[in-house]
Amino acid sequence: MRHALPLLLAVLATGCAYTEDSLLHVDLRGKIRIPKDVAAITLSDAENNTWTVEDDVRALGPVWLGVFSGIDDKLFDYPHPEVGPVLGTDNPTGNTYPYGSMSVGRPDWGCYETMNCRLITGRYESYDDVIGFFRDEVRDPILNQEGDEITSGIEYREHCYETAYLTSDQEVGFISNGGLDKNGNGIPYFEDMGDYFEAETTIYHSLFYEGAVVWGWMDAPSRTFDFSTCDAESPLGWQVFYYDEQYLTGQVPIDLLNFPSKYIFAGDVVVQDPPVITDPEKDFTVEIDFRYE
Amino acid sequence: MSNKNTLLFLSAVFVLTGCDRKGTDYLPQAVGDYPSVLDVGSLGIMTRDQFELFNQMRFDGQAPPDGLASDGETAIVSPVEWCRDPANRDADGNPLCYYGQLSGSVSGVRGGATYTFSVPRAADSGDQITEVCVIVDAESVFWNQSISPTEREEDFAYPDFPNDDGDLDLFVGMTSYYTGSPGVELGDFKGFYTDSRGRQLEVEYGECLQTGSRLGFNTAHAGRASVEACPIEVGNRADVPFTVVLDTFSVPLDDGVLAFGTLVVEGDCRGIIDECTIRGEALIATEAGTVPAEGESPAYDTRICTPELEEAACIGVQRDFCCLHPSMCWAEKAPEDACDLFFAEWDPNRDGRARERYCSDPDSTVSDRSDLGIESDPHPEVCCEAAAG
Repeated sequence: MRHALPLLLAVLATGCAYTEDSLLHVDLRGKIRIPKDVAAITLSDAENNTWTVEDDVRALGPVWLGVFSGIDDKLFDYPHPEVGPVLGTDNPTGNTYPYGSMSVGRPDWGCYETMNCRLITGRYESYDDVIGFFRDEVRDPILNQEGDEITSGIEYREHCYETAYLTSDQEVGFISNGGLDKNGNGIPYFEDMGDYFEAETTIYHSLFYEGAVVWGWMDAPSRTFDFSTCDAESPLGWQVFYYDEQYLTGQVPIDLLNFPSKYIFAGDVVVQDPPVITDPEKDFTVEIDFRYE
Repeated sequence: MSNKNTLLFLSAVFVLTGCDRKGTDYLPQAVGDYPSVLDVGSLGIMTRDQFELFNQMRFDGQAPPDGLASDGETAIVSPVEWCRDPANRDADGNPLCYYGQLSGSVSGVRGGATYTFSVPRAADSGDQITEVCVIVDAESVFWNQSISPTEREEDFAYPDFPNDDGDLDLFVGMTSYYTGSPGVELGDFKGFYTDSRGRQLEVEYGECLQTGSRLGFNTAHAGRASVEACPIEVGNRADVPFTVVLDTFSVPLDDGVLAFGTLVVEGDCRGIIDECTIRGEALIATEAGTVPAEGESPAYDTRICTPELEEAACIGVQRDFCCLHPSMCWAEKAPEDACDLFFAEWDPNRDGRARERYCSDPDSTVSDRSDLGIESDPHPEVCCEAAAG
């Protein structure tokens, strides 16, 4: 017994000496900046009338960020991550083999079929905010399943709760994903910093290789306020079965950051000078500032 | 030593002896001269017309439909024989399909078969093949015991002899990426890519993608004895050799020999893949391991008559098959009147000659079918002597 205790302590002490220093995975923290001049969007209606929405955080599309081995400027007319060998015949390039990834806002189902893949999380403060944006800025008011316009935030919330069996706004991604303030309003990811919008982000559990770069793009909305990084017809997405409302709610493709060129189109805004990560403890700042035309 | 200590000592000995068991006795032993790693050689690409003809071949000694015999002299009959007929080859003399048998490999070594194919360059006026479908079917079949009270005409009761089922996993890729040695050692299509930061990644150059779930995973393989197939894009890759790898996942427990059939057909795989695509793949090993012996009914019947059962299911005469081979169809659980209609048609006089009539040559005038007003066609290809009821 006299020897057992010291031996036990020695074993325990050895166990405590274990550290995770050798793991290659890190959490990379940093800021995203989107200059307002490239964040402005042009929309149009069925009669080809066009107008611009400027200086509005709600017009920002989803931002897809990844950590890559490097950038190859020769692949496309915009900076693009390096790629591996081209495999098969379905992909335009090889796989980028990202080390890690994150999004700042994601396409969400907006509780009505007409809103499928048109709402981005972390952009709106309330249901009325959504209603107002689509009515006044997008000029395409939200319609319910009968084709009637939704004019009340209370009605909007009730419909979300009913069709998705929810009990609080914390479960409604397009309201709460950026957090809720003390009044229960959504907090957008992005802050208005004058000439640009800025958001903080963390790329969790990324592989770290010294010299890797943080690159990504903002999927700018189309002229009808849809997003190419959300497939509204995807059979892999969630399905609504609520009385006579039966439809797919869309899904984000699983290979966005593996094959970005499949999803980047004219109007999207791409990182031009990706920050190089040499120290995973140091925050990065990435500017999404190159509009691909 | 006291009795109690003796008991403890003996228990310890038994326990330790038990720990020494490897369980290899339960693995089927390779029998005979069947190889565990087989190089088939090269297969030709089957055209759609040839594929249709292949599908119309009848199992077990019956002539194909009029005008389909390939050489006018010999009636080419079963799919197996059709494949082995030298008349059915491509321009380079390669067979268009292959039926073979593999034994299990020794522990720790991958076994299986390989073959190559390449799409010929089309003549100036011809259409270039842009896609082919590679298909493999391992023995036996997937018929399960089931009785449907509402669809009993179609979903009769079938027994399964599980010990004759094996499994092959299908892989296909460009031969230049293949790492194995045909006939010696099975390989794969994996390579490596090193990015600019020095990270090394394993890259799969295999192109046989089989979707396994709605989540989009495409590296799946079918389960026991089920057919596997995958489309391969060959546009702009004429004359480029591809290698097909049939990786032995399991061999039948009864004889340790896994039979299979495989082919490459032009076009995509949609609508042509099921257990009836390649029939007769349950070849009987000439050297039996623990195959049920004659008289061990119903296991023996099930094993021996599986090809006929498969044929019956594929041409849609399951009910007739079961009425003729009650031991094959779990007769005690079938509805009592399941065969009333069958015998009313084929044995209207109750003379007990239903089987004789049903199994007679369709072209024979000796049978009294016409005298009795029997309008349905006989199907001798589904008649199995071993399980004659």
